[in-house]
Amino acid sequence: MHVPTIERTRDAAQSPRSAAPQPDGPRLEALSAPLAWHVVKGIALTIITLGIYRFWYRTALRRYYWNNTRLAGDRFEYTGTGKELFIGFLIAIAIVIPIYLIVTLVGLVGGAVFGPVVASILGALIMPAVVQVLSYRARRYRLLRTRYRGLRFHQTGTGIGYLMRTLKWLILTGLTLGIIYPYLRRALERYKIEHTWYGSARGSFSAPVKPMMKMWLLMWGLVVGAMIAGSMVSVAAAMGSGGGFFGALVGLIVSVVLLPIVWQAFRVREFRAFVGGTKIGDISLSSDLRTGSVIWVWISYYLMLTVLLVGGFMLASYLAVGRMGYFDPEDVRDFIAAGHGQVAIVTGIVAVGVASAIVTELFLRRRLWALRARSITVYNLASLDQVLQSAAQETGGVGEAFDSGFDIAG
Amino acid sequence: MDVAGRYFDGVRPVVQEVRLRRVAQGLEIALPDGRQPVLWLYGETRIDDVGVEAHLHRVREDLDTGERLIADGVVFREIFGSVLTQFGKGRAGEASRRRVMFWSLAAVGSLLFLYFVGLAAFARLAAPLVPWSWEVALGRSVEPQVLEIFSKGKPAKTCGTEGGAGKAALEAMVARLSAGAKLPGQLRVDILDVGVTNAFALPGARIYLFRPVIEKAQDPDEVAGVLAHEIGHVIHRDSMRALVHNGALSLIISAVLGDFTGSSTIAILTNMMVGSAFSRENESEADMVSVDLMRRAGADPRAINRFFQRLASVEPGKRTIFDAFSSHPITADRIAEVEKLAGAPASATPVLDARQWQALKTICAEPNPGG
Repeated sequence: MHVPTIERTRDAAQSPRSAAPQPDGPRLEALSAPLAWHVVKGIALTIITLGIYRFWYRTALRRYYWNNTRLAGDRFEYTGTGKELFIGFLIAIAIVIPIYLIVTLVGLVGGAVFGPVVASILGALIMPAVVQVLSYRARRYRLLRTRYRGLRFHQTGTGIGYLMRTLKWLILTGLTLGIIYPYLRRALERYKIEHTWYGSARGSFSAPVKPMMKMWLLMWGLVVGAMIAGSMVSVAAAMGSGGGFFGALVGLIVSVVLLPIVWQAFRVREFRAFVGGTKIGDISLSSDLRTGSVIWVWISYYLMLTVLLVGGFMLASYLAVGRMGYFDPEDVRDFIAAGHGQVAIVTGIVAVGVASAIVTELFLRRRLWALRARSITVYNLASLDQVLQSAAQETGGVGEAFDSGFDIAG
Repeated sequence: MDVAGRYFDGVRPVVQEVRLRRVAQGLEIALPDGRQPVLWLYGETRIDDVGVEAHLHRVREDLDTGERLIADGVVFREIFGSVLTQFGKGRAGEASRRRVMFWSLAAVGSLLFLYFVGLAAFARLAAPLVPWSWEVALGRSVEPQVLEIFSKGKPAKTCGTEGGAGKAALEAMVARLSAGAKLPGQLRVDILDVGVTNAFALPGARIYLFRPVIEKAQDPDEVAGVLAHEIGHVIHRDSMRALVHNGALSLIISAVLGDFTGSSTIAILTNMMVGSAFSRENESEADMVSVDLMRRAGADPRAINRFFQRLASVEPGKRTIFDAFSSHPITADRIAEVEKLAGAPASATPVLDARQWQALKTICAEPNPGG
């Protein structure tokens, strides 16, 4: 069992690499090719086909992101197809849903024998466990469909192994009240990277936790502090003291403004540490992703969403009752009672959903992808000439389709 | 005419500067250092895209060889523009049409099976396993909304007063019917002061009869028959079955439609449309309980049929016989089935005596300060 302190000494032993001066290498490029048309077309067709087109849409998006990520002038390639995802989906429908119902039933019957507590624990655990296994399998599919300069990536390791590691670290994290959460993140990343291959070159991983730990402790302290403050505020309010409003305001600022910022700062440090700790064969990486630019992407994204929602609400209310932004409850009730009112409401919800999906792809995912890609420098690219395509053949058959059907992690 | 290209051999990720030339069978790639040129047959050559750059890859025996070729897009079009139709299509290892067909049919078959057999069976097995206390809590939480829907937005009023003669009569009826019945929990029955002919059982053994059920009945056994039918739903935990059924169905619908924006809305709407009624099977089972309870109580098991048939003749022209009994569609089959189950007519004593029946009849006329 890995005990955190042991991990840390191991870091210290392996750290010289980062201390050694690195010759400069090329950066990953993120080309800014037009994406809006793919997104609009993909979402429209997904709606028209009642969701079936989503597999082709997802494939188109991946192809976009992969193809526009370049290293030393050559692009990454996504060779997966919508049809593969679709087949996997069909298999999931044909086999997995019936099995899932049976498993649920067995869980419930177990609950009837051992009591409702066991049933609810089983019910609460089965689904996340299955998702964890499947997300690892889905990563395998994506790597198998990723090529650079003609050579394929692939992934070894098993979903169950990944799940076991997750469980172990969840227990440890729970026992330490969440303080060692960065170690959990690192352990999972280590499992993924060490089972990642590019041709014959295997991934290795040795990231220090220290650069992330400060930000995590701040995050942890804020959450615990907010919880303590929250209970004190409610006690003060119960006692009729006047500090309640002020306390609530502070709590609101902490939870709505400060926590997301600290969380993003933590994620950026984590990204830099994990990228810097990753080696594929003799190729090493580093990232100089900046917290400020990531947070700005998030802020502008939320501003856009807010404008979208407020605008949509104003327009809807204008169309509904002919007045901007003011609702007479009677009007609303009449409106909802009328059949066309319900149709308008459902249409409005769908329209806002579609609009925010477009904004999310164009102004959040694409920007974050570009920031992350451009932050990465690749060293020792010359060692690529020692890499060979591994002997493993391109796989086919049901196993592969299973992977693609469980391609749920997005 | 040839064009400069970047070639990757699929074995090592190292670029080779090559010259690319059109020959009769395909593309000839002249390697540096005077090595043997590589020939890609047209059928093996797949075009990823031709823009500023032309990106090509090679597929042999349905395997991606990993070979890649990149050339200037404009020059490539100049050389190969006239033979583009001869190039192969698609990616390696793509599922055949037969495989797509097979799994499509399997998926559709699975969905049909689930919809018509599997979900009902699942609901039947799973519903009794849900703790009774959960069902009671659930019933309490949905009760206000359901009542508001039935009383059309006005505050719902129940008839009778605590300790009044009407309530006493109703309780006597409930007690006689439920004696010996295997109930999952304490029954609570009330008359709802709403002018539609209906009755329903909420989760948690909560039964509501609507005022017209009592007004239109000619004897206490007719009311008792309807009440016994609702007790049947309680015994079989049909509302929990419906809930499990609809919950599982909406999960499946959202799995089919994907977690895409708005699909959950569609799933909920579909669910509302699909899940408005108990299944025919559940209704028949409740009828069986009704006949059984009525016979045990020494009352007339056919009374419920008389009630339904009289309503049908009073209110002709409706698609369902019972106006608002849409959640309990009455069919000729069900009436015949009850007739059969009831067996030979035997002497029956009404569940309530004349005085109690009178009290029940006037329960909604009692002054009701509570509401």
